[in-house]
Amino acid sequence: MRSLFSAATGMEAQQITIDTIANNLANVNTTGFKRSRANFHDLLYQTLKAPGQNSTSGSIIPSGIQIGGGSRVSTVEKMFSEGAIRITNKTTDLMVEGEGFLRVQKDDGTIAYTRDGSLKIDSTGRLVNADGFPILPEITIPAGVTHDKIQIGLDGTVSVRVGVETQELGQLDLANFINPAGLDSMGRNLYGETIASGEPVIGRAGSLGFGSIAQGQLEASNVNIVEEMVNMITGQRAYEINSKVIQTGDQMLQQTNNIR
Amino acid sequence: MIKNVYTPVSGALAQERAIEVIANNLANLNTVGFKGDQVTFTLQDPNPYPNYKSPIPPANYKVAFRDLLYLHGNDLNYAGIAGMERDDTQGPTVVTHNPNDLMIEGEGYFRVQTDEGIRYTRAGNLSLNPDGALVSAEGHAILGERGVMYLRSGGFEVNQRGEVYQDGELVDRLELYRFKNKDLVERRGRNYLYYEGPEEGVVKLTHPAIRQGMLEGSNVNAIKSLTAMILAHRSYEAYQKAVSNYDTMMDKSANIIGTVRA
Repeated sequence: MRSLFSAATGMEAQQITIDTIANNLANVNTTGFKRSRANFHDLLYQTLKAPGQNSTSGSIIPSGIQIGGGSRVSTVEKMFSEGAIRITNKTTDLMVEGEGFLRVQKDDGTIAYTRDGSLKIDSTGRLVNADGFPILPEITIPAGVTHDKIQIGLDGTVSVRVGVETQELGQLDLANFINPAGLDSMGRNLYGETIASGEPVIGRAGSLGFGSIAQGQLEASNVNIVEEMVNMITGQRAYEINSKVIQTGDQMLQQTNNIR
Repeated sequence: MIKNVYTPVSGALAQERAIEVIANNLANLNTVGFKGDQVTFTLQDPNPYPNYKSPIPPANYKVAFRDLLYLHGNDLNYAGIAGMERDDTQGPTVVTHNPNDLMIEGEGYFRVQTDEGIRYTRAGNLSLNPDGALVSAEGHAILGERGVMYLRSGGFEVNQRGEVYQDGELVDRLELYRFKNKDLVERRGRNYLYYEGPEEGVVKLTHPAIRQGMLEGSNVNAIKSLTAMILAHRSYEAYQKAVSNYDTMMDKSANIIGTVRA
């Protein structure tokens, strides 16, 4: 009775859909969050009769008999579409408008990538992310400068106004990947480079292939509640229907046992 | 030889296959680009190999119910599976707004270069690999007019004719293919189809229709499939009732008719 196992693969696949949707919905208000999507494919087919095979009388069998083994999750893919804009008017809030990731240096020295631009200033004046990891290239705000004097241009230039003079501190750059969906989601809004994502391409904000940096706004999560709800319904119902197939298979076996 | 039970058994086996196919359809209820299968039943020839004296047919394949063929030359009919037909109707449109998602409108398949050779698919949930090649969800290159299509990071636009543009420049054209003989198409899992016939049997579409930002859902109809499942299940039950009735009959003939009374 293959149907029991095929239906079980269907249930397992749908469970991962629901798990993915749950994570998306839990992050509906997470800054810079990118939603995921579970992709499925069908499993290998058992060929009882190959299509196009000759029958013994010399004619060709019109269609074969191939019985499939169910479905499986092929990938859970991040969707890097732009999230909604949230205006905060906070000078250290940044949003990458378009393609690109901000770079941060983690405690272990490795570089991680993020779309969450809600930056802070640590005790030494460095621009850091919510976890205290410095943004690269490192920029230090001189002591005594108030937050409202910090200016960040569309090209990522960070400057402060001291008195009447404008003092340039450095320029934030962006990293981009040929296949962002291949990045490793590390949690804490951070992504890591993998073989699948390719090497990071570092470039200036606003140049070809890179978005620009907008000050005073944040990128909201790109989770669309309606879409997730609809997917949740289809996922749950598919799960339910597959459980019915298992019930049917079970009853068939029971009947067989009751023949005698 | 007691042979009457084999007729309902052949029916029950055919129904079991039908349930297996329905189970696979329903397991793929949310698989992108999936096409459901339908089983057709047939009257199996009670004597398919009249030329062979040997009771075991020298066929290179064997289906479980063919093991019953040593009953050859008898007057009973058996039910069997004629074949399976893929339902090639268009699946529902799912709008995703994701530029990497392509939907084929109407007929046609993408051509995919896998390690094992050329495969065909309707699953348009594509992505770019680290080299920038346009690949399927399984990571195999989707072929355009000039072969593997290399793109830079960032969005690309695909128009309805399948022309792929990046930054306003034409990169390549996606091509769709159809099969001259649908019966030679074999499913290979991973949303891939394999064409068993000669290369000439695969024809390039002159007017492909591709939509970006959408996906084609599975064309499995849950309600129809569940109804078919109930039907197959109840038929299976009926065949088993028939087997058990034959059993009662044989019990009677052995133990009541056959009793020698003093």
